[in-house]
Amino acid sequence: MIGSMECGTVLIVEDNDVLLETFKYVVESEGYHVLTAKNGKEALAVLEVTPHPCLILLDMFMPVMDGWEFLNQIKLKEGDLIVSLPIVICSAAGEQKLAETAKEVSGYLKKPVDMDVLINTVKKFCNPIQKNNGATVSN
Amino acid sequence: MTPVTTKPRILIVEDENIVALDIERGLERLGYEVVGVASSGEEALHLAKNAQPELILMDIKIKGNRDGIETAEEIRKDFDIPVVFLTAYSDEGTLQRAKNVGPYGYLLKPFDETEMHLAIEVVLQKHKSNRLKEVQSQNDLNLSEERFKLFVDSNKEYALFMMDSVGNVISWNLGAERIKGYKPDEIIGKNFRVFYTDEDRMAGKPEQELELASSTGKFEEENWRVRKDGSRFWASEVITALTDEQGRLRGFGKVTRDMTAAKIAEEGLRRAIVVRDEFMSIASHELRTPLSVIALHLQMARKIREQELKSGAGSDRLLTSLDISIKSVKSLGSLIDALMDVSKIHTGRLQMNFEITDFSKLIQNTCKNFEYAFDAAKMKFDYEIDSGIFINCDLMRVEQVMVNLLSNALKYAVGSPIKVSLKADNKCAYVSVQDFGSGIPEAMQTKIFDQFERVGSPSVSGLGLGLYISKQIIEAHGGSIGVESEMGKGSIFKFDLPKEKRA
Repeated sequence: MIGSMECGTVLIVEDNDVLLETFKYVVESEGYHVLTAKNGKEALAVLEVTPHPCLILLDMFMPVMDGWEFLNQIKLKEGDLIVSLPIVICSAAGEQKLAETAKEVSGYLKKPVDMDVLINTVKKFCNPIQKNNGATVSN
Repeated sequence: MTPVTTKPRILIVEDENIVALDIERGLERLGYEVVGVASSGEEALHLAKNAQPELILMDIKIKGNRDGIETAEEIRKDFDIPVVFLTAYSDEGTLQRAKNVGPYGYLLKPFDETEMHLAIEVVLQKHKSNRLKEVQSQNDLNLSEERFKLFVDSNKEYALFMMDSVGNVISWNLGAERIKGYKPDEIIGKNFRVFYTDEDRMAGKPEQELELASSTGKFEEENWRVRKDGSRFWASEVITALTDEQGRLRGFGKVTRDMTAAKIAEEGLRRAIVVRDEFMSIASHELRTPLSVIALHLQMARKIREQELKSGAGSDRLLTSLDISIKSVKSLGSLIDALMDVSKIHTGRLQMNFEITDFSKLIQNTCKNFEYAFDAAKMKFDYEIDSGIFINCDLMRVEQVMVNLLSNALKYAVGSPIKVSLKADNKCAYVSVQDFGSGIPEAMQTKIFDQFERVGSPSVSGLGLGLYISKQIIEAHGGSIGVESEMGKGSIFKFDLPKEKRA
């Protein structure tokens, strides 16, 4: 599995500590490897090391670097107008701005996020590293 | 026949002497005074001027270069004397000419004395009443013009002034002086371009507005204008083109109102709506975050329990989920508390329960409770608390202020050391919370104590109500709260509370 380390890896970007840990907990319980970042800047740093997670869950309203700036930075890096990484944005406010951004990326999760919706979204983009039959999660 | 009481003075213009004499006798019999007899137009003009008749009996066919009608026209130019034409011609052309002179009557020769008397009296009467009407209407006009001028000159609410066809000011009222700041002698003769902002002048707006006013008759707009002292005001203005009877442009009338106060009120309202809408969006975001946590953990807890029941195994994961849910419910509760506080402040129901409190102990305990959080955030946290300071305050509310200041330090001064100090003199207690973070821009330093205002919104979490509520609490104690901050160096939040609550 060394060659496909990033397979089954999900990057979660969320500024609220408790919510970040909660997302991590839910996604890990399905057998995925989870990387976390508390803002766009941290997320870019994570991508330097792990450039191809199979999914990025991205909060939009964050300090230091918000979700929009993060998307711009990725575009600049890839020299492309369309973000090719699978990204699902995750936000509470149903604003026009969010709806437009959602079209640019792979999907949109509305807060408060439902567990089954979150799990199914992650499953849609990646296969878990270890098959988890749902009993308990081994750390 | 009514007897003639005064003797109206009549001039006879008749080139046939016998006829003239006959008429003269007839007139005298009827009680008129004959002021002269002229046999030519020239003579008639001369007598009309010198004898000042009140009526002229004018034969149409007379000696000289002018006939009677032409003579009457001449006379009418200079004197307002009614004319009764005497004519043997009853042809339409002549009668029409006679009528066009605008006089009052004619007698067809031959006529008898009664006809003559009637014609003279009718004409005199008509003349008299026309004159009366003219005077009356002139008086009315004078009066209304007078009133209008007074209204214009003394009106202070509206700038009312006239401009010539290229926009040079030619009249100036009190309102114009008050609104625009120019005295009449400072502005009359100058071009109205000076009332416009530099941008508008550059864009040629003054000329365009005159152009529009003259092509459509009127130009209206609301925009910024400039006073003599350079300050701007929000003007509501109308420019009306003034044309003569032939439709030629004579100039412009301009009416301007100073609507600055209304504009400011309107913008304040608009701003309040924007702030409120932003707040609603932030509040819903903030409330959903703990809700997300609770929802996810409860769903996870359920799933774990389901699996436990199937497998018979147990784990502490369930407890973790429940603990986090409980914590999130609490944070949801404090968000709702903040909203309730603001609602109480708005309706004047934020009650304080004053009691003599060991303030030193209160601040000390609050700081202690934060030690763990600062430690976890790897922030150096020092507090220097003078002991034995007692003040009359609402313990819970003052603690709330302290918690707010420390939470803000934790949230905004990421990684910076934090210093808390409490000192007192015999009147007040002084608390300060200092950080060495990025600092607050000067423009924001007072705004952050307003409701819904936050530094760096909307990315930093929080409702933006903490400092607003804190300020209300401190002020309800008769104290004050503020911030000193320098960009790049950090901020010191300070508040003081009187030991005894001031009335």
